[in-house]
Amino acid sequence: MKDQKIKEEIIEIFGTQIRFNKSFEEHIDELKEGMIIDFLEWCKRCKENKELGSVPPRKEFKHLYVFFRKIGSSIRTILIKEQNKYFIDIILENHKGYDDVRVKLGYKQSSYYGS
Amino acid sequence: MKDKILKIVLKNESRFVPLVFTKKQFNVMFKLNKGDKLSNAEKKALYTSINKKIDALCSLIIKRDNEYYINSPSEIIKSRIEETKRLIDKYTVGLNRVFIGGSFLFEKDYNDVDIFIIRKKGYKESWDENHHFIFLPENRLSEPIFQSASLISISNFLIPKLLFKSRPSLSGLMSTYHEAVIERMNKEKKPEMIRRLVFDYYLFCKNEIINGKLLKEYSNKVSLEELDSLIKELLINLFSENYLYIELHEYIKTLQESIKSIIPKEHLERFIRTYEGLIYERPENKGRNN
Repeated sequence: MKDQKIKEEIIEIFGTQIRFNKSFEEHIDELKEGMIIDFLEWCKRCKENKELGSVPPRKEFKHLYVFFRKIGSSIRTILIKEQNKYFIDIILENHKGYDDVRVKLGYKQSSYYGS
Repeated sequence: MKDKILKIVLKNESRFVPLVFTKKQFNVMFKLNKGDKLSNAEKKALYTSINKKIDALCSLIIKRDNEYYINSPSEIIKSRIEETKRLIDKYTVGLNRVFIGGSFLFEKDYNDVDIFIIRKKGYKESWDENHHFIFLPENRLSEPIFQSASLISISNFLIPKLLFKSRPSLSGLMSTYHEAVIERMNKEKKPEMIRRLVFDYYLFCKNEIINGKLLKEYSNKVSLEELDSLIKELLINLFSENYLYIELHEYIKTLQESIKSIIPKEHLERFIRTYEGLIYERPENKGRNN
C-alpha cells in the first residue's frame, strides 16, 4: 500500500513515462518515514533543475543525465533523465544492484568498501 | 611481534634447525639479535628468506593469552581499544581472522564499525545495526583500500603488508572526479568520491597509502580548485598524451552539447575547463609517453 502511494507521487512529479526498477517496492518498504520524505523532496528538486547530475562517461549513454543519491547506509538511488527530454528511470537498489547499474553506464563502482 | 618470534626461534634451535631454518640462517638471526653488523651476504639472506619465514611464523599465531595486534596505537582512542577487543572476540568463530578498522577507532563520532572477516572465498558486505561486516578472501587484503584500513586497526592476526595496485580506467577516474565536484558543491557530509579521488592521488602520484584518519582530514579541506589539480595530475601520471587527447576531446564535445539544455550547469562548465586545460595547456615532458 505504502509503495503504491509513493509510486503515484513519483509519477505525479516525473510523468507517466517514468519506469521503476524491479526491486523498487521491496526497497521502499525498507525506508523509514523521514527517509521517504527526503527522497521525494530530492525527486522534486531534480525535476526543478535544482540538483547536479552527470553525463555518463560511456559514449552510448551520452544523451543521458544521471543523478545519484545515498539513502541510509544500505539503499542507493539512481535517477536517469534524457537530456532536454523526460526522466525515464528511477532505480532504488542495494549496493550490488546500484554498482551494477553504475558499471553499465560507465561509472566507477562506489558503494562497496573495496570498490 | 617479529622480535618475539625471533627470540622463540633462537631459544629453540633444535626444533627449527634444519626443519625451518638452515644453520647459516640461524647464525644470521643470532647475530641480528645480538646487534652485530651483518655482511652483505647475511643481509641478503635476511631480506630474501629469513624475514619471510619469520612473517609466516607470525601469521600462525592467531590469538593467545589475550594477544591482539594493534596498528598505530597512538591514533586510536584509548577507550575504544577494549570495546574493539570484545567485538573481535564476539566475531571470532573458530580460527576466523578478524580485524576492525575505520573511524570507530579514531573518531569521537562515528557512523558504523567496520569489521573485516577473512574467509576462504567470495567478497560480501552486510550490516547489522551499525556493524558493517566486510567478508573478504585473503588475497584481497593486498588491495590498497584494505591495506589503508589496516594502517589503523586492531586484529587477531598479523595483517600481511602486501600491495597490489591496478591502474584505474580513464572513465572511472573521470566519473570519480565529476561526482567529487558535485559532492563539494553540495557540501556533502560524507563525501565518498572526494575520498576516493584523494586516495587515488596519493596512491598513484605519491606512491603512498594513506590511513583513514588522514584521508578524512585531507578530504574535508580539499577545495574545488584542488580537486581540479588532483585529477589533472592523476591523468597525466597514468595515461599517455595521445590517449588523453582523443578521449577528453570527445568528452568535451559531449559536454558542450549537454550544457545547452542542462540547468544548473556550472559543474559541467568546470569539467570542460579542467579537461581543456589538461589537453591544451599540458606541460611538456610530463607523464607517460605511451
